[in-house]
Amino acid sequence: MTFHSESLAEPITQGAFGRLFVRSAVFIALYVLLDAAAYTLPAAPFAATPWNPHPALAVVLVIDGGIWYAPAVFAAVALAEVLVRDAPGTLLGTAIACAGMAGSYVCAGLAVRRLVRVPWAHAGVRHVARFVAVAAAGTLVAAALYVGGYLTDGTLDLAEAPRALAHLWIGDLLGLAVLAPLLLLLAQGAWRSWPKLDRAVRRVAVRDTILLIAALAALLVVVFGVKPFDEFRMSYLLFLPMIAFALRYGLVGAAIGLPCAQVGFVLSLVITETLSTSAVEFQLLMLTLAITTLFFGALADERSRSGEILASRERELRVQQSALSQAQRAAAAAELAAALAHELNQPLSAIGTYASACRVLARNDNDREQLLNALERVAEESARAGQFVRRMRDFFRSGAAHMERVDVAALIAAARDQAADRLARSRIAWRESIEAGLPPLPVDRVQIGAVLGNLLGNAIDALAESGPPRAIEVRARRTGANAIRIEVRDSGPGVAAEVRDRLFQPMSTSKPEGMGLGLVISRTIAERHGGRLWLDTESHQTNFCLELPIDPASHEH
Amino acid sequence: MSTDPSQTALAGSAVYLVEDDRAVRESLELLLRLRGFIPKGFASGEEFLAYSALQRPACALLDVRLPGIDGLELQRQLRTKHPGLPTIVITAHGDVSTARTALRDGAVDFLEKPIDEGDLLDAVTTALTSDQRIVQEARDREELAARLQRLTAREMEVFERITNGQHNREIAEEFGISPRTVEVHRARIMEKLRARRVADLFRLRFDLERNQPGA
Repeated sequence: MTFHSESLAEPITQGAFGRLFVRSAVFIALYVLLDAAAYTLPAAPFAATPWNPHPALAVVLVIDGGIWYAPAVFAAVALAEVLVRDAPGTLLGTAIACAGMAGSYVCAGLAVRRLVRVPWAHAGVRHVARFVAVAAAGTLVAAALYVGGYLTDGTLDLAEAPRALAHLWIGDLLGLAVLAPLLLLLAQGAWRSWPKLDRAVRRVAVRDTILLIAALAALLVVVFGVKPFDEFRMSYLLFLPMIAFALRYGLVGAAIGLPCAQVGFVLSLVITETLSTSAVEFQLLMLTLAITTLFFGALADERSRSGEILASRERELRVQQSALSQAQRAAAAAELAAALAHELNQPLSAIGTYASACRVLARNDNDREQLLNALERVAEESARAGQFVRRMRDFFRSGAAHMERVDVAALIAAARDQAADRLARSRIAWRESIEAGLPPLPVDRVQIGAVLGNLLGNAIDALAESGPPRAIEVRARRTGANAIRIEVRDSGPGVAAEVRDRLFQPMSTSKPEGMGLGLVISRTIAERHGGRLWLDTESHQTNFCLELPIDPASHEH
Repeated sequence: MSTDPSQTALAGSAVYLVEDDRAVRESLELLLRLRGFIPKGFASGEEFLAYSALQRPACALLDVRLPGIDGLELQRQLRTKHPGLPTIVITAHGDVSTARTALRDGAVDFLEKPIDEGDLLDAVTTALTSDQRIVQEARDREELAARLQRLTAREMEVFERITNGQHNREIAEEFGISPRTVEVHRARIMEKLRARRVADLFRLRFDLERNQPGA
C-alpha cells in the first residue's frame, strides 16, 4: 500500500511495474464490466443510469496507487465508451468527453490522496467532509467535460445538456459515495484485521450485518411492495437501520451497509418498474442517505477513539496513583523505622549509662543503697523499652484489631494520663467537657488511644511555641444518631494555612524528627473504625476532630 | 576508659546537662556525679538559658532533640550568653549532618546515643580542660590588670622604659630626676607587680601586650 506516501508519483521498481501492469489490466476489465452492468438499466434519454459504480473504481485506484494509474483510467474510460456506448459521437467529441471525464477522476483521486492522509478506517469527520467535497467537485467537472465533449460534435442537443449533466453528476457522485469507502477499505487491506478480532465479536458483527440486510429488505418490501403511501415518502425509513449500523460499526459499517442499501434500492426500483419515472428523486435520496451514513460512521469512530484514549489515560493515571501510594508507603515505613529507632534509643541509652554507674558503685561497699537504686532504674528503663515494643506490635497488628466497647471518658482519661508529665512540665491547663450519657464506643482501645495520644502530643508541641496561658480542651459529644465526635483543641496560634493542606500527608512534618507520620496513621485508624479524622478549618485555633460511629455496621455506606 | 577524671584536677567542675528524657538525664547525672563532677540537669533549653548561677570552669552536654528550641539553636544562643563555654552535643545514632553542624558551630565533641561511658568521659575531660584554660587565662588577665592599676602614673612610665630596655641613667635623664629616685621607683614597681627579678617585668609586659587587643 502506498497510501501514506508524500509524493504523488514515487519511483517505481521493476517488480512494482509488473504489479502496476496487472492491476491496471484488472481495473480496466472491471471498469468496463461495471459500466456495462450499470448501463443495462438506462433510465434517462441520455445514457444516465440510476447509479454509476465504475467512477468509484477509477478514483479509488488513483487514491491508492497514485498518478501511475492515470493511463489505466484514461484507457478504461475510453474503452468503456467504445464498447458499452458504441462511441456515439465523432472521434474528437468522444476524445474530449473521455479525456475530460478520466482527467477529472484522476484529479479527484490525487486530491483525496493529498487531503486524506490517514487510512479510511481511521478517518474522522474532517476527512469524510474533504472526501465528499472532492467527490462532488470532481464528478461535477467530469460530467461537465463529458457533456461538453458531446456538445461540440452535436451528439447532444444544448437543450438536453443540463438534464444530462445533472443525471451524470448525481449518478457518478452517488457511485463514489456508496462504493468508494468500501473499495478504499479493501485496497488498504482493512479486511486483514478481521481474523484478529475476538470470535464473539466477529459473530456479533456477522449477525448484525445479516440483521441490517434483513431490516433493509423488510423495509424495501413495505415501501415498494405493500406501499401504504407513495414509495418516495416512505423511503426515509431506510435511514433508521443505516444510521444504527453506522453508529455501531463506524466507517467500516457505513462502507458495508451503503452498497447493500443501494443494491436493494436499485433492485426494488427495477422490479417495481418505478425506475424511469423518479430516478433522480431516488438518487438524491440515496445520496443523502450515503453522506449522512458516512458522517455518522465517522462520528461514531471518533467517539469510540476518544473513549479509548480516555480509558488508556485513566489506566495510566491509575498506574501512577498506585506507584505514588507505593512510594508513600515506602517513605512512611522508612520514617516509622527512624521514629522507632529513636524511641528505643532513649531507654537503651539510659540503661547503658546506669550500667556504667553501677560498675563504679559496685566497687565500693558503702554505695550499696545507691547501687540498688540504679539497678532498679535499669529494670524500669528495660520495662519502658519493652512496653514500647509491645505497643508498636499491637499498633501494627492492625488487621486483627481488638474491638471492645470502651467508655469515651475512659479513653480520654487514659490519653491524658499518658501525657500528664508533659502537660505538667509545660504548665498546660487541661479542660474537658464530656456530654453525659454517651454510649460506649466499639473501638480498639490501643489504636484509638494512640490516635488521641498523637493529637495530644501535637497540641503540646504546638503550645511549646506559644506563651502562657496554655490550655488544651478536649470535648466529646454526640453528633447525629450514630456518631460521637471527640475534639482536641489547643490555645496555640493555630495551623498555618500552608501547612493545612499537607497535614495528612506523610513526610510533611514541622518537627525535626519523624512523627510527621502520626496524623497519617491516625487518620488510617479512624477510617478503619468507620470514622473520620480532620482539622476543623473554621476554627482559628487548632481543633482536630475525631468522629467515630457508635454502631459501625450501620455506618457502612 | 583512658582517664579517671575523679583523680584529676577537673574533679568538682560543673557539667550542665540539657536532656528532655528524664531517664537519660538522671542516669547521666548519676554517672557524672560518681565520676567526681558536679552535674546539673535541665529538661529544656529555655530552662538552661534562664539559669543564672552558672559556675566556671564547666561544660554543657546538649541533646539535639529538645522541646522548644533544639540543641543546635541552644548551642548558638549559649555562645553569646556564656562565651567560651565548651559544648558537647548528643545526637541520634548516625545523624552525621547534625554532628557536622554542631562541630562547625564550635562544639568540642559530639556523642551518639546510646552513649558510651569512655566517649562521655573523654569528651567531658577535654571540654573541662579547655574551659579550665579559658578561665585561667581570663583570671590571669584580670589579675595582671588589677596589679597594673596599683602603679602611679610616674611608676607606669618608668615600668614602660625599664621594659623597653632603657638603663636607670637614661630614665633619670629623661625625667630630670636622680638615678637614685629611679631605683626607688623600680623597687616599688617590683613590689606592686610581685616581680622577683627584672626578667619578670619583661614577661609581664609581654603578657600585657599579648592580651591588649583581646582584653
